[in-house]
Amino acid sequence: MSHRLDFVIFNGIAKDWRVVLTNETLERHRIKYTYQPYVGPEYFDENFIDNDIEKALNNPKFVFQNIRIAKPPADRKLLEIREGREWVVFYSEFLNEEVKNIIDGACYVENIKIVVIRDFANKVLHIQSFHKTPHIAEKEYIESTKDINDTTYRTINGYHF
Amino acid sequence: MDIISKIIKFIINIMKTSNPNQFQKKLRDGVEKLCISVFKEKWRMYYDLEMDVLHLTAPKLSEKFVLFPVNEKNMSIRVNYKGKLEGVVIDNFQSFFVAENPEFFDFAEGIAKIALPNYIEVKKDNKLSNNKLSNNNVRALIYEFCKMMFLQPEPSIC
Repeated sequence: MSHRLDFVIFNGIAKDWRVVLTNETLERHRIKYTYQPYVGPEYFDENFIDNDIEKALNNPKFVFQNIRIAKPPADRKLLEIREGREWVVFYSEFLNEEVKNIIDGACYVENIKIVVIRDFANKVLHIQSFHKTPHIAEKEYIESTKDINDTTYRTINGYHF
Repeated sequence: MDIISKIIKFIINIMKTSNPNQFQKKLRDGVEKLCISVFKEKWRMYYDLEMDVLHLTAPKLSEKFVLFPVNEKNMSIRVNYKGKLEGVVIDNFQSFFVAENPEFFDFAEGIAKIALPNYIEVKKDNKLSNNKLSNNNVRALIYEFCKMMFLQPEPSIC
């Protein structure tokens, strides 16, 4: 299968790692959103996939390990790494000029959220999913990763994940 | 100043403004009538299991839209370029929203089973077969949306 997006990160936090977005991943998004394409139009935007994702990965503002609170009650704060694999979330800000004009010149920043799986053996980041969001949810719960190669376990309220 | 605080301030100003332009007027009306229009227009509820995002959207959507954050954590409203409110979006629904609002745990479990491309149509006489997706649960969630939008305190940073 040919790769839709395949490049090496130069300036980002995962320097010298290869990034791969397969047709399989894109096809999965397409199937999900075919019935309501405008729910997530970025999945169909060529410019977003070719340029914005590459920019975001090369200059990320925040990088977090993706966390999931497994089961309520919430106060247990049990966390798991999804499907036993290590997921990393990249966030990058970009200014939306079109919207700036609508809201009377106010600065409007959107974040691109990209979820990747690390393949340590080959130094490859496999893109699993991506979308635009105004929020960075992990910010409140965990510290941003400084180095993608960092394998130390991080904790939230004493629990390892 | 935090960008989210700026946008929250912008939304609050829209709600308060006495002589709004067309964009602001439409947005204000949309937010005020959210509860009514969700049932009347038969909005749809989607859940993206992979990204953990819950969408509550109008049946007809515009191609170009903006997501204005309602709170600083995970909730935002979807507005088209003309100012019409077209939906509510919650990021990290199961991870963080349900963790902080455990009353929605049953609902979250139910909706995870009908993830995208499937959806729920929200209407008054909807006979939802799954107990976890009962009308009461759906209503409670929509009520929560409205509550958060109207009772959001004005951020002190602004």
